Amino acid sequence: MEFAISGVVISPILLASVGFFVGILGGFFGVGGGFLAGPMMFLSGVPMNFVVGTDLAHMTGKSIVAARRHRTLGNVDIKLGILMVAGTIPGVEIGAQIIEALKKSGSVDLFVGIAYVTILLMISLFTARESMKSLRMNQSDVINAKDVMKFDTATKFLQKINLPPMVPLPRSGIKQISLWLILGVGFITGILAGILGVGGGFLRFPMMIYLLGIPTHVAVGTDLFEIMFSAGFGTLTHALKGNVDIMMALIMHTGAALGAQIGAILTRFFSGPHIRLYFSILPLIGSILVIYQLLNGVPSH
Amino acid sequence: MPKVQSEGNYKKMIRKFMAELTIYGVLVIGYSIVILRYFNDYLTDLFESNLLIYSGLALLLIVAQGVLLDFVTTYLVGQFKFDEIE
Repeated sequence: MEFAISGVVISPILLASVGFFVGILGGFFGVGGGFLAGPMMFLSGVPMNFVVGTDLAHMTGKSIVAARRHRTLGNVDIKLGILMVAGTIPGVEIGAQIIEALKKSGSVDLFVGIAYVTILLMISLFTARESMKSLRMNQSDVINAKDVMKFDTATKFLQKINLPPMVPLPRSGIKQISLWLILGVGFITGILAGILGVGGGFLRFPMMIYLLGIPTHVAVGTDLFEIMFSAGFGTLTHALKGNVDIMMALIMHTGAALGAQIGAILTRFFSGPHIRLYFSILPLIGSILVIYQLLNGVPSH
Repeated sequence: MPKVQSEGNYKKMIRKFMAELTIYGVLVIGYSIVILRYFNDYLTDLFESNLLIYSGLALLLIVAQGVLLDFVTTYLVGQFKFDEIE
């Protein structure tokens, strides 16, 4: 089938299948999945500028569907999500400015590629190690908790910071936490997302859990809630630059919307450490794809 | 995989979810076919002539596919009482 807007000939079944696969991952892990869908679209022959914009468009719809489903399961902390968005937006802008400065030096792809792979591998190794230890704690009945976490040193330290205004997050089971801490985490993930040119779901998810102490299931739902806004904003800006093929996005979203619902409901049957353990595979796949792109000279920006 | 619900609740939840997913699936596929069939040329022309309106419409179409169809699904599930199936 020919998509006249982007001038690409591609099978709609392939697009819907990619959407479905990424949709399941998105609904289950609370990530946009751009780091997987992007390379898949590019390898299918979609031009790079349309890859980014169209992927963001389908991500917007998918995150709405998945966040709504997670909300019915009680997994969305709306207050936390809104505060995180407020921190993320200036962060993304600063990240984008850093990229512009790096572009002038001429080595942006290599720098971003190496930074991306390093961060992804660190997240993957840390999450895998922590979740496996947590699962062992559960099995040995040291602690009988649904969402036990082995690494909580940083969480305890940060939650003790008494810098007003303090905000309660009852949905996340947090009595009080400094507003600046939430904005700070959003800001840092925003900078990284801006530099790396990604939505940042896979950065926010572990940071919400390990720094703010948000339960895994709520981190998944709240991350999707935030992606609704960030991806929606990204869709609009990319569409204005002529980088969105809405026909392609709608077909991808047909698969993604169904996949996201399945992914979201699946979280009901897995404990927090299990979700974190499976999540640790995603950044690993992402880093392999980036290394492939770097070796084959595929542009990331 | 830890079991988090009683078997009765689990089965009921799965049944309701399957009903919702089936209805939503039909609606979402139908929606895409209608847009592709009747709006393809219009949107392509709009993309070439007015990116501002195209951008707004693109966002609207994708949000509608997510939100509107989900509302319709919830309504239909309620109407046909799929959520009360035992």
